[in-house]
Amino acid sequence: MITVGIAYVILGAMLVFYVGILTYGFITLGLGEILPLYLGVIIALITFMFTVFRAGSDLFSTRRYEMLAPLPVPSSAIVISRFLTVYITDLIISLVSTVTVMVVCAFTLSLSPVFYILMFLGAWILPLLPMTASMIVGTGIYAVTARMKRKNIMQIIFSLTFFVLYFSFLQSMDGETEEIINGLAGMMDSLKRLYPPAAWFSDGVNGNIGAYLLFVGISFAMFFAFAFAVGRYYKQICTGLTASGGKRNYIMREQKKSSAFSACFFRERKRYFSSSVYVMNTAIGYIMTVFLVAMLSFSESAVLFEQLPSAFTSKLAPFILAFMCNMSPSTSSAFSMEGKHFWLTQTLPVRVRDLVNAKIAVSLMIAVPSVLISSSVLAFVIRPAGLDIFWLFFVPVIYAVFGAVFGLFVNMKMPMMHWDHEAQPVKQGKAVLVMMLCGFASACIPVFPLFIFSGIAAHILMALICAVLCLLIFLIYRKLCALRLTALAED
Amino acid sequence: MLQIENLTKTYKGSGKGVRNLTLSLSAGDIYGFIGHNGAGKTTTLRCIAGILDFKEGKILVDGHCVKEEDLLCKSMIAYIPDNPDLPEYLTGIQYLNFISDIYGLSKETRMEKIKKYAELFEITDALGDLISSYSHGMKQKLALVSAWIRNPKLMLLDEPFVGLDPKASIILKDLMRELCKNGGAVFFSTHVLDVAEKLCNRIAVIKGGELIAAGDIGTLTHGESLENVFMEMLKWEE
Repeated sequence: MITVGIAYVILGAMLVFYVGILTYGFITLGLGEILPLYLGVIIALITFMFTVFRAGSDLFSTRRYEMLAPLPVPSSAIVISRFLTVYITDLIISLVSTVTVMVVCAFTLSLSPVFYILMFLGAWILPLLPMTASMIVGTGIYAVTARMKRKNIMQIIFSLTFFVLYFSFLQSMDGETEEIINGLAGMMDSLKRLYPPAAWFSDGVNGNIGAYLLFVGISFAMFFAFAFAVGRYYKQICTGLTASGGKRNYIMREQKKSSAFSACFFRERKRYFSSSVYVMNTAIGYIMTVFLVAMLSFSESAVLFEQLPSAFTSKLAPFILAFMCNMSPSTSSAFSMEGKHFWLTQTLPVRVRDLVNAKIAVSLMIAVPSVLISSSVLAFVIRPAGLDIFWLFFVPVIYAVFGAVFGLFVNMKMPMMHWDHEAQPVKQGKAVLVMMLCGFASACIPVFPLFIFSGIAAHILMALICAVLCLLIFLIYRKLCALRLTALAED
Repeated sequence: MLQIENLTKTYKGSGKGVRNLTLSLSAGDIYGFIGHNGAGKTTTLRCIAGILDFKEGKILVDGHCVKEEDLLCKSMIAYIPDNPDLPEYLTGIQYLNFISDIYGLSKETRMEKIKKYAELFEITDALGDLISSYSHGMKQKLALVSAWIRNPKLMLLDEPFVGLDPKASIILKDLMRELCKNGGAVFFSTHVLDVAEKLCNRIAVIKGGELIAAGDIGTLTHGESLENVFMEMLKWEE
């Protein structure tokens, strides 16, 4: 509990720090006017990304529906309870960000009390619109794919396509750098085009009550319209989405024999790709890495990157990849994801080593190709020389292995075996949170000493970092292989 | 076949579980484990199967300690819980192949056994479908097929008749008898005293985590119905 508490505090502190620094930076540059607009856009983007991939499956969870449907509770109450659960998570982010902006403003600017009152009230309303939009998109993906033959794979493909389109859109907005460089007016125009409701919120807190009322009205109207529509047709939608029947036409044919490891790997792979929530949350780091690196090489930013000193980029690049790939390995929730099926793993005469290897292999199956693609693309952009080429490939791969092994270790220490919905172990598991922080720290800490050294000393240090990681991987792996399966689901 | 000596397993918080339980099964036994809800039946079965750890006592399967030689013991046991939560992301045949791979069954053996037991329980048609599309009874049947294809020495079944249709129940009873005739043993929990009386040669009665009676069914009942004897035992214990 203490570890998780600390992890949440650190994440909260990171958000406060990020928002605080940005706010202070804008005020120092004389761009304080942009703050409400910027806040509105940031909260909308975070809320949207946090909600979109879980919305459909969370809202129309079969298990919850079957549990609640026979109870004398109106459908609207079930829908509202689901909405509130999602809203509370989004609200926390909104409140923390808004209050941080307000505190920095209070210390640095002299603004009317009305500004603070409207900002605080707005924090409660800001998540509503992006949350509704993400629920519409999430439900849409869920509904389109629900009746497909391979619905889980299709959900993943649809979600990934949406994700790429979403970031391409953001990237295209970001492309208008000249406007941003031109100053406040250009920057505000760019943000207003990106998310108009943030502009209404911004105008509102700056005194335009009409714009504020428009922001509040549209947010509530969209939210309640969607809630009403879902509430009205909830039973029909759930029944339509969840009704599933097999073909019942199997004919016995010859079967293949595999080793225990292959069997475990097959099962792990099936488990992984059966859950779009699991894939989207654990593969996101790798997908973002490949996507950003590809964007970098084909956009104007590549020119900027090429202009940076090669010694600087060569040292930094492997650790940027390492950081991206270490955020959320599938192993950090691999034991937890077994959930109610874990009795099977426990009762089978299979070596823990085979189980561990299978879980690590699934993680590496995603991590290693994306690392190699990203490293190859980066190698063309930053053109490292000599040994730096080797480090660009080797360091991220070592980190990918470390992430997979350490993730499983953290999950072994903090399993979440009892859950109602897959999003719980994948998104809210203590192990996932701790892994995220440790992955961040493990990729960032070695960067600092690297900038002190140069030439051959830097290469020796790089080799030393890799050696330490290899040693850690070996020790943690040994610990994993000595795991007692009974200890994971104790009591 | 199975020896449990002074098994004590208590849960943190509630303090419930099993205390000082001692019993043994020989090859050929169909051993019924009877007791009301929360008496400790499932806890005992889960300790034998390797799901729960226990600090006191000893469990031996065919002379091997479940703690020290867990893989060997597990390779001799097939355990089916009261609610067979099977991996719903696999199809029936994928699940049976997974089990066959873990138990090292050859291509021919698995083909023959899967065919035999799947046909017996009438689920062959459904083997190509995802387990998520199965009803409770079908999952139970698939779990039973997966248990029997391994050819276990000791079958551990927790409420095996719940959810089964009458025909499948009869087939299951026949399979239990056949396994015992071939030198295996069955240890199962049940609330259905009628089934226990007709099927088992030995029974154990557990109450509040403690064994209150165990032995040959004839010796325990003295010609009376098991239902009456069970109620008497509970009254006497109170």
